[in-house]
Amino acid sequence: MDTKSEAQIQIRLVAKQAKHAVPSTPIVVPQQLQRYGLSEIVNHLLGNEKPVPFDFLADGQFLRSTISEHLKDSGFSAENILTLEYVESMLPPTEIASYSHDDWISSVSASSPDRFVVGSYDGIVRVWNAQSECEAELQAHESAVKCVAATAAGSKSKVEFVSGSQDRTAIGWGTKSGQRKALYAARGHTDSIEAVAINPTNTHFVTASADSTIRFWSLAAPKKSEDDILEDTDAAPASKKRKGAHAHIITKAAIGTLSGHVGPVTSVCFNKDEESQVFSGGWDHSMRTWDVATGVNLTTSLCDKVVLDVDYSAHSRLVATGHADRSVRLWDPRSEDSTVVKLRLSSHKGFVSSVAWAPSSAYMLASASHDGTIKVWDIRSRPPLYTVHPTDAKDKGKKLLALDWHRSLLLAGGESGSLRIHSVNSQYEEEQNKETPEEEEA
Amino acid sequence: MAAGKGNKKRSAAHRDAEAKTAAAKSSSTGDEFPTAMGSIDVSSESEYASDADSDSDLIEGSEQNFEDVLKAMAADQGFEVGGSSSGEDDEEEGEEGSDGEESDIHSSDIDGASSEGEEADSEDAEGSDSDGEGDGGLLRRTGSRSTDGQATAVDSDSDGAASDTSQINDDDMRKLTIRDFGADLASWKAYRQTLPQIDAGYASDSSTEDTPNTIGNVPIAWYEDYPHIGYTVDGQRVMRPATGDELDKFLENMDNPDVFRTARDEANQRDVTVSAEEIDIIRRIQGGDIPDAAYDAYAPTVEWFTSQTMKTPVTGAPLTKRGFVPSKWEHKRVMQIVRAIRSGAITAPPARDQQQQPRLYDVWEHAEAEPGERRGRPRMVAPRLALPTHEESYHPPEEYLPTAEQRAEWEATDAEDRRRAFLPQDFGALRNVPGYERFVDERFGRCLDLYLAPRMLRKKSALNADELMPRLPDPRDLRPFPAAEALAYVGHSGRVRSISVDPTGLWLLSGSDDGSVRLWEVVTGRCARVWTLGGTVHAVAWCPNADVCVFAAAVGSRVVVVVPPELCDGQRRTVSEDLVRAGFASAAAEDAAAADDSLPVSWDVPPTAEQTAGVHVSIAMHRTVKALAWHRRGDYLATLTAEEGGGAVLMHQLSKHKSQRPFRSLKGAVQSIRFHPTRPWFLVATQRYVRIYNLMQQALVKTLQPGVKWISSVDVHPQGDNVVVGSYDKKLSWFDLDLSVKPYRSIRYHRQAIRQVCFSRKFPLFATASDDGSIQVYHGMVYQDLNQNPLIVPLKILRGHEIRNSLGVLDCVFHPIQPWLLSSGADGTIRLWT
Repeated sequence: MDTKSEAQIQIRLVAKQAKHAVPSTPIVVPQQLQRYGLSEIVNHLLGNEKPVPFDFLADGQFLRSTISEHLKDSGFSAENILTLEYVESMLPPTEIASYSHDDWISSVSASSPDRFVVGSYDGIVRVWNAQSECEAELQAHESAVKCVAATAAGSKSKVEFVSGSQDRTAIGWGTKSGQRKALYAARGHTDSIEAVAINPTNTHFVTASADSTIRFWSLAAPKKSEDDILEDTDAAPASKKRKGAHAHIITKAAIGTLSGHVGPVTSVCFNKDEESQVFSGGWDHSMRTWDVATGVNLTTSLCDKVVLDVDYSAHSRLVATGHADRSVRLWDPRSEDSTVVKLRLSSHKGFVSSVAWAPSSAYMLASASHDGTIKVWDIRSRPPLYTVHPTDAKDKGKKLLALDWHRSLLLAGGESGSLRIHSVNSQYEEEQNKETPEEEEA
Repeated sequence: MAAGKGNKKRSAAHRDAEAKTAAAKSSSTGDEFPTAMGSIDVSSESEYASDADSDSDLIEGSEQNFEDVLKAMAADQGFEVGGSSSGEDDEEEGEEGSDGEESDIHSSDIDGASSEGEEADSEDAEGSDSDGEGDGGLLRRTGSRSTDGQATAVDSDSDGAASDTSQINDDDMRKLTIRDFGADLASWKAYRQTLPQIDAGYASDSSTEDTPNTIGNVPIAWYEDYPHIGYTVDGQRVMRPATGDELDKFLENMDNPDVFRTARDEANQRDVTVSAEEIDIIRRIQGGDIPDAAYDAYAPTVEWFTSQTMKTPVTGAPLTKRGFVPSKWEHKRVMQIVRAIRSGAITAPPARDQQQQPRLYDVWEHAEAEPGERRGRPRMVAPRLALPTHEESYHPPEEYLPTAEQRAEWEATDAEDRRRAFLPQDFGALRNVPGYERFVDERFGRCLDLYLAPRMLRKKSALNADELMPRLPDPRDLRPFPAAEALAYVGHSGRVRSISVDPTGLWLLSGSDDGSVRLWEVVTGRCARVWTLGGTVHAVAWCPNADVCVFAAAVGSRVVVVVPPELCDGQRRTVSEDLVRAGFASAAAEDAAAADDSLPVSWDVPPTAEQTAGVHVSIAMHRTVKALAWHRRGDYLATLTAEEGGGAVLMHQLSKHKSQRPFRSLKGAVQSIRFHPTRPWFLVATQRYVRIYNLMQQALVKTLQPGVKWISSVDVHPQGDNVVVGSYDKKLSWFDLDLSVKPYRSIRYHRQAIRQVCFSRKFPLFATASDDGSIQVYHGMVYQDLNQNPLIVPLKILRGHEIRNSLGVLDCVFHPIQPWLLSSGADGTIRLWT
């Protein structure tokens, strides 16, 4: 026992961030050291007065146990020099604000500069700014709003955001004569719209519906109502019937319909690298890749569980999906072998209703679950980095249904009706941001 | 002397054989002018060959193998034999004088007495004329063949002569006694060395001499006055060779040093020069001496055969010819047998009659019932004696030694009542232990026990608990199935009696005691709509028709048909509303015609407030409606009311707003109703039986007898051949309709009454909900193969519902497209299990 506890190993510390670099000469440390001990050593070497927490990577995986256990697991000989990379630890997300709503929040989307669009089950779309002011309460939907999507930064489009609802319409909202109002209603779906996504160049959007189709629309408002296009479809009589309610909103028709899912489609997102590529997930246990320009289903990847949310990261080029089996799965959409799930992250205790990649990191993602927690993951580590529990007692155990990661803000909302805003370690992110291109080159 | 003669005879025999071989060879080379002897050889040979041919002719057509053997034998013999049994030979035998002598010599050999004169004669015969030898061979052969007596005589004279081919049987060999050479082995060896190998060159034998003169056996003197000396066989003259005159002769004689030993051969007209060795031999012969100069006439005697009988005879005699030459006589004998077999004189012996054999069999063959079991009474193993304890030690520990009171008590008790028959004693050392006086008593007692005490053998079953367990697949291999609680739908304030999931799987409907019907979003648990309809909601059911969006709810004593406005829009909503309302027109027309309709049912238009909420039809009945069942097409709705008799079950046609009573009378209180998923059958579960009716033929198909006291619920497998029945007495019964009206399997795992059973429409799963607050999920695989029984595996017990007033889970239903289970309980919650 004693000999084991006193066993030592040579390690070489390599900094991922240039400002924290230490001499690369190997040093001898006890094998029993964990992250904290190593972090102290690095702080000592740097001579930091105020210690900076570091995380250590061995073979691209976070060191979460003692060095000796890592050696045992990896089969690495203790006689060799172990190279440990280290990065500054991400600080736990801290809740900075909570905006209260009357009803369940179904979706949230943030747009720059710091405006948060929140869709709610009472059918109202609310726009909040960072100063906890509700800028607008927009009511045009007849039924619960299920999804919202705000345009990305640098949008020249009049349409600021799009919302989809159980009333089978998606409404594009914009500012007209100094007032936010519905610019058009996108009709065509025959069942509730479950998800909406706007492409990175803000020209088109897609909607996913429970009628098992995905529709592709242009974002711009039409000059005149396109009711005549819908004349033949199922939605036509209904729209006529409800002219009274929606009389002032002109109708928009879809450019294309992607059908292939054999059950409700719950989620959709754009490939930020390829304009015309869209990922979708649904109740048929599939994650599909589509080419919206041609309307072709490119690949179909199957797992055994219902897909509840899909998100794509331009940095890691991976698709993350939230599932009804309480796990997050990562897929490589470029992989030929489409059935292979790259990684499965499971720690949640309820449906994973929403996933969001960090906007600037190749490794970080967050997931929100029905168990009321947000989990922040680094895909180099199996257990989640942080689990964010609601601070408010009344939010405890309430389902989370929506999540968005906007810059250094993590927005989540759900059953409790409060939009929880967390700040995540911005410094860490910037550093991550810098290193990412280097890695891609390598 | 005797020895010398033996040796001489031996070498003579060799020469004899050589001569024969040579003759055979000369004949085989095909000499143009055979000598008289040669002609005999040839004729005998050819005759023998013809004999062999005739043999082979005879055996032609027989088995090829045997023919080959015979041919080989014939060829061998033809090569070996110098003469044969021709009449010519017999004549010669008569002519030759020396033959008689020779046989005499042989016989005298046996006697052991011989004379020099006889010996010399035989030498003459051998040495001078090889023809004679050949004749001798012939003679002996014919002699041995002609009469047995003669053959024996010749046999017994066999001294190793190679020409003797007559057989010596084993008995004869035994008669011959051979001297043991052990003592003078050295001399024997020396003897062996003194005999050089005889070089059987052609020069030594005049029979092979080239005879250029082929005029025949004509005296040359007849041709003295002629220039020729005779005629060839072709009649051509053979001219006399030219010779020199006397002077030439003289000169030649003067020049030739060998003249004194040169003689004129008139027959061949040539000069023959005799060599020095030959002169030596001639001189010896003339002097009456042995011709061979090297021959030692006085060598020590080697006694080959003695009169003394040895136990292990050893002979150094050379191998006899018959040892390696196949016997002609055997061949003849074989051929004789072959001919006899051919002609049928010899037949195969008759097959042994099996019946004649005494038949032996094991008397106890079938007596033993089982292998390993002894015959008769089983052997009883004597019970083991108890092992000795510390008490019986010669030096027990202190505490085992009896105190004085114990000793007194022991002595006071009767010998038969004593706990033990002895008192522990401490002897200190083993050498102090005296003889055990009770030994004989104890042995006798033991024998009495074994003899008198009744004993019996008991068989212990060596069964493992694991072996008794049924072999079931691992539940992990039977995924997916609901295993954990995922969501709770909270909102009802009373017992949730009934739930139903819409065909798309997105919406859940629940009816509760608090008088409300709620619509829930399945994935999020969001309550989308509440209908308060004024009355306990006993049952809710979605219409299974996917084209419409309609559900029915049993509220108190009426059934409402609702088109939820939230869920459908456009075409679908229109279709749904039309379907529900279309009946009002037709019903109004028919009402007049069927005014006397005794059915206590009225189809009403609900109040306006309810209409805006989507309630389009209200069917009022007299009694509380307890259960609803939709037909799979979605047009007929069966209701079950709380009353006895046939009026309990009613059928309602939604499109025509028509109600009818399918059963005039029903025995017992109806507990549950269900439409068959594939056939026009209708299941009615009464308190004790499940009756299956054919609605088309209006006949009873089957009566299922679960053997329980109170049935609570029934459900039909989506393929239609299996039915599960749950009962209030905790039992679940699985029926295979093709198999029997008795349950294929009865399962009793719940601790309280089973309230509901349900099958999954998509996965091989079924579940039971019970008052004990748990739901049990089973794998219920039905195979297409009719020979394979359904596989029922309990998978999971789902706990979560609270028990209120001894009521637990009231309803459970599988999600239509996912392996999820939804359950409602007395605690007012609905739970989703995934």
